[in-house]
Formats: sequence, C-alpha cells, structure tokens
Amino acid sequence: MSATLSMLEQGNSAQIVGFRCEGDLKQRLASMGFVRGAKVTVDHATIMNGPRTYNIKGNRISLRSREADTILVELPTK
Amino acid sequence: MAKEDKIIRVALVGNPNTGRTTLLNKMSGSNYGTGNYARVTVAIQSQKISHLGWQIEIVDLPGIYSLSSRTDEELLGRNFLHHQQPDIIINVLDMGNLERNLTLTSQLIEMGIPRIFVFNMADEARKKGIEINSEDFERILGAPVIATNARNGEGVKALLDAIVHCAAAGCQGEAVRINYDAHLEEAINRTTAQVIKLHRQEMNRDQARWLSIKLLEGDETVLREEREHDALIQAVREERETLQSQHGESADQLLDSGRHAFVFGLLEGAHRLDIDVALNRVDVTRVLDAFLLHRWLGMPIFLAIMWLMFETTFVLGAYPMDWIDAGVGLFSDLLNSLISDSMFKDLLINGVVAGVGGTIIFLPNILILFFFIALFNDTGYMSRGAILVDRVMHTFGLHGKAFIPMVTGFGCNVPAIMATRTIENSKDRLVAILVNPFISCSARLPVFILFTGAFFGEHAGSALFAVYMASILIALFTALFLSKVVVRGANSSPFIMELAPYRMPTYVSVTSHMWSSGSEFLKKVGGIIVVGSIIIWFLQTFPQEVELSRDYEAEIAALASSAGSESQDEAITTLKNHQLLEIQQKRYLGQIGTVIQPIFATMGFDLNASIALLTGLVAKEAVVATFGVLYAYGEESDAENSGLRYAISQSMGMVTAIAFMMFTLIYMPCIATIGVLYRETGSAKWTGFSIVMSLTLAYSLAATIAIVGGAIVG
Repeated sequence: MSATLSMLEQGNSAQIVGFRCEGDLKQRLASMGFVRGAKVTVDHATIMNGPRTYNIKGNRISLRSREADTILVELPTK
Repeated sequence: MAKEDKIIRVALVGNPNTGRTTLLNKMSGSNYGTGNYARVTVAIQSQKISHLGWQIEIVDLPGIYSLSSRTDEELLGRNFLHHQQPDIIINVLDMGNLERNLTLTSQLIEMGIPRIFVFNMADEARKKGIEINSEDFERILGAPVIATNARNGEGVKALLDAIVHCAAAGCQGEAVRINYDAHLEEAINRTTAQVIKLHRQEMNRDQARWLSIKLLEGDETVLREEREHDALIQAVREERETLQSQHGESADQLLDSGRHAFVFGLLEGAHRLDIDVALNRVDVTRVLDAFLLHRWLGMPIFLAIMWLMFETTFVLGAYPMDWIDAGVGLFSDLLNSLISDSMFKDLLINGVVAGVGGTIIFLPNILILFFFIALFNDTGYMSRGAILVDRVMHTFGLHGKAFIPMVTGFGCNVPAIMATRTIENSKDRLVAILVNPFISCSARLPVFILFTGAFFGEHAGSALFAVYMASILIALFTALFLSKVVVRGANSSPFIMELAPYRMPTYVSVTSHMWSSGSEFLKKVGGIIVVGSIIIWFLQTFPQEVELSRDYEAEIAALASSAGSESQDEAITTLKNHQLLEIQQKRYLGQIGTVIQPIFATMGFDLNASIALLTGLVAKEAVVATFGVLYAYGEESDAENSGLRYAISQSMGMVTAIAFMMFTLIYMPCIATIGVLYRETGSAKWTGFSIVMSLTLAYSLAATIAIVGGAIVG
C-alpha cells in the first residue's frame, strides 16, 4: 500500500503511481493532468487542513484532502 | 460557398479560462461578463458580426475539458457540435498550457468539422519563455493555427480573415487522424459501419465515427440515445468485452492512450517538449501566491482586503456623495424659486426630488463596490478566496465554489444566483442559491450607509464591514441548517479548482462592469423610484382635508392672542406638533402605517420606518427613497442638520437602528431575486420557502436584538 497525495509535505514532490477512485472523479482528475507517472508538487496548504494547491505540469490545481487521498504517490526517500 | 449564400456559423470551443469570451468580445466589439476563473460562460451565447462582406455568427460554447457527458457544460457543448454541425470550430487553446488543452483538441478532431486553431494568451506564454512555430503546428494539425492575444486584440483580425478564407476556399489540409491501437481501430470501423446503416439519413461518416467512438467509450448519454437499436448496443458491449480481455485495458483507457499519444507526438513534432522547464521558472503569480495563499498569512490578508473594500466604499464614496447631495439641494432650491406654490410644486420637490435625490447620492458607493468586485474577478483573486474559505464554507455545508456567487451577491443577488450554476452537485447548488439573498446586495447598501453614518460617526466604515460580516454569518448558519436539516441529496461534490495565473485587469473590463451596474441603478432610480416616490407623496398628501379630533387652530389662536410668555410658546409648539401628527395619521399613508405598525412595534420601529420597510418589498432602494419623501415633508430648514441622516438619527435609538438594519438585510428577497430564484430552482416550493424563511428569520432576529439590546442599554 503506497502513500497518498494528501500525505505529501508542502514543498515536496512525488510521482503518481495509481488511484483509489474511479469513474467521474478519476476522469476529472485525469483531465486536469493527474495521470499515472505525472510529477506533483505541493505548492500551498491552508490552515485547518483545507484545500491544498498542487503543481502538476505547471498547472496549479486545488484539491481537498478527501480528493487528494484518492491519489496514490511514491513519497520521496528521506 | 459564396458570400450571399448564408451565414458562416462558427463555434468557439476551448478549456475554461482560455479567453474565449474575451476573444468573442474583441471579435464583435461587445461586452459579456468575463472573469479570471474557470467557467464563466455557462449558457450558450452567440454574436453576429460581418467581416469582408460576410455574415459570421459566432457561438461561444461553455469552457470544457473534454467531450464526455459528465458535466452539463460538456453535454451542452458537444450536443451543439454534434447536432448543429457548425461550419467551423474555432478551438481556443491557452498557448502557455498546450499539453493539457490539446486533450480536448484530440477529441474535437474526431468530430470532423473544419477547424481553426487559436493559440491564445500568447503574451503570457512568451513571458513564460514559450515560443511556438505556428507552421509546425499547422503541418501536424492540418488546419490554420493563429496566435492571438485576445486581451489587446492581437491576431483577432487574422482570425477573422482565416474564418472567411476557410468558408470561401476550405481550410482543411490532409485529414488528421488519431491512430488508435489496431484492434480498437477495427472495432471502431465495425461499429461505424453499423451506425451508418442505422442513421444513413441524418449522419455523415465523421459523425458516425464519432458516435461509434463514444459508444465504445461507454458514454452513458449516447448509449441511452441509441437504446432502441438493440443490435448495436449488443455489438458495442461485445466489442468492449473483447477489447478488455485482449488488452487487459478497457476501451476507454485504450482511447485515452491513443489521444495521449497523439498529443505527445504533436508536441514532439513541434519541438515543444521542453515545456516543463519553462513552467518552473519563478513568475509573478507564484511570488504573489506565496503571500496570498500562505498557510498563515493567506487568511488575514484576505480579511484585510475585504475590510479595505468596505472601508473604501464608505470613506471614498462620501466625497462625491456630498457633491451630489449639494447638487440635489441646489436643484431643489432652484425649483422652489422658479415655480409658484402649488400642489404640483409640492409633488415635484417633496415627492420626486426628495425620493430620487435621497437615493441617487449612493451611486458613488455602488460604483466603488462594483469596482472591487470586478477587480477580484479579473485579477484571479476570486479563486484564491474560494480556496481560503473552502474549509470554513465546508464546515457550514457550503461548497468552496459558493464563495464566488457570495461575493457577486454583494453587487446583486440576481447574477449571483445564476453564478451558482458552476456548482455541479445539485444539493450544494440549492443551498448556495437559498442563502444568497442574505448576502447584502448593493440595493441595501444605501440603507446601511445612511444608518451607519447616522449612528456610528467616524467608525461608520467599520460598522459597514460588520454589517457585511453579519450578512455572511447569517448566510453561513442558514446554510448549515439547510444542508443538515432541510435539503436532501447526495453529499458534497469534490473540490477541484484550477488556479489561473494572476492577470492585470483591463481598463475596459473593469469600467464596463461599473458602467453596467451604475446604469442599472440609475434605470431603477429613474423608473421604480420615481413612481414609488410619487405614490408615497400622494398617500401622505391625501386626503387633503382631514377631520381632526380637536380644533387646533382655534386653541393656538386663543393661546397666541394672550400675552406671550415662554410657557405659552412651548404650549403652542406642542399643539402644533400634535396637530401635524394627527393630520399625518389620518392621511392614507398614516392609515396604512397605523395598521401595519403594530407588527413592527416589537422591534421598536416607528410609523415611518414601518412604511419604508413596506415599500422596500418591491426594491430595496425604495427604503431610503421613502425616508427621503417622508422626512422632506414638514422638515424645518435648518443649516445645522445634514438632511436625512440627521432626521434618522433623531427618529430612533441605536439599538432600534441595528434591529432595523438587520431586518432590512434579511426580510425578503426583492421581486427580481424572487424571479431568478424561481427560474434557477425551477420550483415554486423552494421559492416560497425562501420568502417564508427570510421573513421569519428577519422578524425573530430583529426582535431579539431590540429586546436584548433594549435590556442592556436600559
């Protein structure tokens, strides 16, 4: 079981390795650039675990942690 | 095709926030609402223009990311393209964001309609270090590629020329095909053959191929549309199963990879694969967001900006307001000296001028407020706000995207309620619609400026901010109640929000926002406020002769004839006041007021305030206009008082004033808002619910403030 995007710390990058969602949500995420193999960086976080802004191929997309939790990533090795 | 034959029908298609609407405005010279956040165009708009003697009808389709049928916008856009078959598709792409924008392009190509590609926002792309060679793209895409800058009009003429050229001589080079996996391609061909048999009459080969691809993709809408063709549906299902078992990947995944490979090949062919490098450069947007979206600073900055907006609205607006007020005063004096005393003169000065003059002085405040809203829209700060407040909004059962309609609601609730269309989930949307009337629109602004000015002196700007905060809190708590108790439905939709780069707002866009709001306000003042003021004047002037309970004149005369002392003067004044009061009560307006005033007595509102609230049911601007007419009547000319504000401050205490402001804020959506509530919810039940809910809430809250506040003040 890999880590999810919501666990990635601000400023860090990771590669998407899979999804835990399907159908509409998965397709919408894919149309915004969240596809397997893509590199994602956490640009901004808000207080109280609000939506975080991710940088994917230069596009910046905000997701709530509920959505980010459905994206599986490989965390960078410390 | 020759000039005279027909109109060239053109459709603008592109991802959200690629500048389609701005482009359309530049092409036609008109002005639609544009905003720097995804999904401004929610309905189909079209414009007719002529160029080089040709008639061109341009349709602006909603911004979409793909041609699936997942959202209303996508369905609307693709149905238009598939069924209406425009002559030319203009695919608008953000030049700085080609890789993602081309995903839609790969699907558009499959529709087979002649295309022109517009690489828009060329200036931003160049700033990011992206240069493209249109010829490379033209070669690979087999269609004209034009680089534009919709915001300053660069390339717009070239585009119009290309449209005309394309219509006259054709513009498609070699047919571009997306190469799918061989098995998939065979399946598409087999299905296409079947579709052609079924729909020979109404579809050409391209349309049939497109439909087949959609069927194989498992698109629910087309499957439903074709459901009577059992054999076709059955065949498609078998094809899908076969592909799945042969490839271990579903047909939609295979289609996706095919399109992805096409985009990749395209970018490689045009030597544009180094995009990643360019995009990671530090740019203004990233620097600004480092502060504006900072984990700790973001929220305080957001609140400070909001406070600044209301402070400026009040403080800066006060200057032109004084000028207009003085102008109205001069005009009134001028009329007074020009016209001889008559009923007509009274109607003109104490009716029309008092009502219109009392309302029109708030024009500067409204313009300033709309200036800020336009600024948030155009710069792109609005979507940052949505992110910052989503956590709070979510707690209260509202979607973060509901923030945008809320800010728009500060201007006017009617477009704000329409703006909730960007919220996909129907429950989220209904809640956002129902709470929007509580967001204080600019029609209520005059009431608050009048009252905060009268009761809070130099802190009026902050008091105004507090009123707006109250309006937001009321909306939030109502949303919480509605989403937990009243509105049923599937839970909240996902929050996926794209952050556009910050853009410098254009002068034209900001001024046109201000102009349209200002002229809307003036139209209301010239129409409903004039009529309303005349009616109010009439009701408080007639019947002329009223039967009084005492013979005041005789009593005053008796007192006056005897030798004058101070106590006698006082007695005369008291008598005069009583006489005036009784006359007013016996006039029509007094009679109406006496009937309704007991309803408002709990909150401590006097006769005039009750009447003002009654007239405000039609349009909230009428509240201030009514006060204007009511206090113009019998007003002593006194150099010391500053007109209406002074009169109001003398007529009630601070607690009553707060209760009055809260009541005005909540009590009922205006007629226009009720209309749009009905249209957007499509339900008389929810519209009625909104009215009953507002009245109940307004009454209980204002009464609580009056009673509790009264007890504290003593």
